[in-house]
Order: sequence, then C-alpha cells, then structure tokens
Amino acid sequence: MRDSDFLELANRVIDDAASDEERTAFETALKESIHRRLEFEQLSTVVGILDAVRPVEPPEGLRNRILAAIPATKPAKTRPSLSGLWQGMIDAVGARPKLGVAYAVVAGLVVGIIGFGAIWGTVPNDTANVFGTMSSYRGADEFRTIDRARLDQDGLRADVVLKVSEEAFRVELDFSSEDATDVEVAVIPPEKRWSGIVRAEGSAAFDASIGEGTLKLRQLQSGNYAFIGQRRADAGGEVRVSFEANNGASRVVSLAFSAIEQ
Amino acid sequence: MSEQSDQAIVQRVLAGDTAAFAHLVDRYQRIVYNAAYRITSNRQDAEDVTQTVFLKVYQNLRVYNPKYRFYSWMYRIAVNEALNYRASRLRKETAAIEDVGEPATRDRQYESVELEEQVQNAIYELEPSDRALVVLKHFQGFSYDEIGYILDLPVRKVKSRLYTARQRLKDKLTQARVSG
Repeated sequence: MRDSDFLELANRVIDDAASDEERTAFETALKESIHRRLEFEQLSTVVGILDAVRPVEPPEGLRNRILAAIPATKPAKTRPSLSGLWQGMIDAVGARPKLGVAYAVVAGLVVGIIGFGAIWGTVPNDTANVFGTMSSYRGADEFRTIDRARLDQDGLRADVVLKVSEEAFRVELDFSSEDATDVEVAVIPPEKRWSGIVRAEGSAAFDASIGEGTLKLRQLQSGNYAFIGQRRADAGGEVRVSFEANNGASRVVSLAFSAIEQ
Repeated sequence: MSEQSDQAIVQRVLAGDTAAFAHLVDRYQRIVYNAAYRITSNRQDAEDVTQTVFLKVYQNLRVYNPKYRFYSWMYRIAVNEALNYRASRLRKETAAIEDVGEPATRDRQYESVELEEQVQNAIYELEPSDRALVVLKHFQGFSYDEIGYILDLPVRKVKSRLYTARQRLKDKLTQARVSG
C-alpha cells in the first residue's frame, strides 16, 4: 500500500467511512508497519483533539450590536445610492493625467447578450469586500465609459460598464441572479501591456482568485462590483465577462476598445 | 429547530417582519462567531466579521435560494467574509510595515489551556482555505457535501484537502509537543 493510499484510508477509518474490506486491509497495513501505526495513532489523536476543542463564547452585547446594524426596513433588491460611494475606489484607482490621449471608442462586441440599454451607475454600496491590491492611482474622474452591455435572461441580470483611463481600466458590474453564479473577468489578449485585473470590490461577499489575465469569482451573489486593472496608454483589447449560474444559465459579455495615442 | 423554521423566518423577514431576523441572530451568532474566531484567530476580528456577516445575510436575504439549507448559505457568506477580512487585515498590516511574520494581533489572553492554544496556533498556520476546511469539518460538524457547497469544491477535493490539512496539523502539533 502506497503512503498516499494509506493516508486516505486512515482518514476514512477515522471518519468511520471505510468499508469492512477497507478496514481489514487497513488493519493488515498497520500490523506490517510500526511507523504506520504511530502515524495513525498520532492522526487519530489530532482529530480527537480537534473534535474536542471547546467553542468560544461570543462577547456580551454582540447580539445587540448586530441587530443595531440591521436596517429597520425589509431587505429588498435596492439600487444603491449613487452619491459618493465610489470615493474609496476613486482614491485608489484614478489615473494620473499625463499626455493628451484620445480613446477611440469601439463598439462592444456582444456574445449571447440580449442588447444594450441605458445604464444606471454601477456603484458598490459597501466596499468592505476587497480582493487584490491597487495603489498610487488618483483622479478617477479621468475614467471614461467606452463600452457597456446589458444582460437579462434566465434569471441572470447584469449591467456591465467598461471604463478606461490613461493607466487603468475598470469594469463595473451591477449583477443579480436567482442562483449564485460563477463569474470570470478575462482580459484578452493577456499581453504584457496589460497587467490584468489587480483589484476587485463589491457590495456582497465574494471569493476571488486572480490568474493570468483573469479574475475568477466563485458563486457570486447579487450586488455591485468593480474590477480594476492596469494598462498601458496605448493598450487596446477586450474584456470578457462570463457568467455561469448554478441553475445552468450561462452567458458571456464581451466589451472591447482600442486606444490611439495622439 | 428545523431547517424549515429557518426558511419560515426568512419569509417573515422578507414579508416585512424585520424583527423576526433577531431569531436568526439568536440561533446562529454563536456558531458564526466561532467560525470567524477559528479562521481569524482574533476575538475582535471575529466580532467584526460576525456583525458584517449578519448584515450581509440580511441585505442578501432576497436572493437566498431555499433549495440550499439556510445554515449552509449563511456559512458560505461567513467563511468568505472571514477569509477576506483576514486577507484585508494582513494587507493593511503589511502596508503599515507591521510585523506580520507572527500574528501580532492574535488574542493571547483567551486560551487558558495549553493544548487548545497549540491547536489554535497550528490551525492558524494552515493555508486560509485549509483552515476553513478544518473549521467547517471539526468545529462545525458539516458533512463533506455541505463543505463542498460552502467552499464550492468537489467532495473528492474536500476530502483530499482535509486529509492533507489533518496531516499538516499532526506534524505541527507533534512538533510543538516535542519542542514544548
């Protein structure tokens, strides 16, 4: 029996999930090796200790503090206020005006979306959820909206706005879904002049991981999000946002732009 | 209290009986706080996370899908929040050039039993996602299927990662016992 097989079987025995045959094979393996007996004893002891750890008591008054923070109004799918909520993002992400750069706006490539529409501001109402880092950017008012798309099908609703500044781009996502949804934001092509997405913020908790040119958000809840990346002034390309909901609904939105330095 | 009761409470809150949310707080604040504490290893952080979790649960109550257990759904928010909170705090500490080589903000007053302190230290040294696995399995008693849902992992991967995490804990605790 390989060590890895032994480890798996030992854990199955500890979890009381091993079959009679597995248990017999396991006991035979134990008899044949003092080292494995010791390993198993130690592992069993550790699991026993874990299971015996006492719960900690919450501090007094926590309940009241929780309830004091809960709004008196019933929860609703509200459109967040537009005022001032981007400030934290603006401070962090805005681009430095440098050369006069004009951006040629290219029509968004839309794959599998229903159509465009008037877009309201997509503004996180809570920037407590932050993933990644982005520093030394100022003057977000230099961001210009260059493409946008709306998605509304099979319970997936999303407004996506692509903005660029001289040194950064920002994808704003106003998203709601009946089911938690995996979302991937990809920069295409992932050239060197892109540094990819380096920061995400949202109004709901999210679990994100950054890959090469991609940001993956798992089981995203409805809310407002923003994804920020760095770019060179002359960079163009495409930002593709893919949605895959637990209910099987799947859509892709592609936003494209080019930039021409003058 | 049955799962149906959780969902009944959710429906009451959504219908406008916002005071009913207090029942969910009463029912789950202790376990959310415990999960947060085991992941952040800091009581103040755990309190902040717990408050935020309940606020987010409330704010997102309308998108809660009843096909999942409310408990699991809430836990999903709690684990993400605790992991994000800890990561965010580490970034701030790094930016402030504080010593993050050791968990400087850890609550050293809480544990009075040496073994429990060693266990908490060993858990804290795990990768955050593995830490969450151990917390969900051993401190909260979730099944592998539920952990898979909460962490969005296939059950097979949940098991293999938990087995590896247990092995690491064993090594760390054995080492601590020897050196201690």
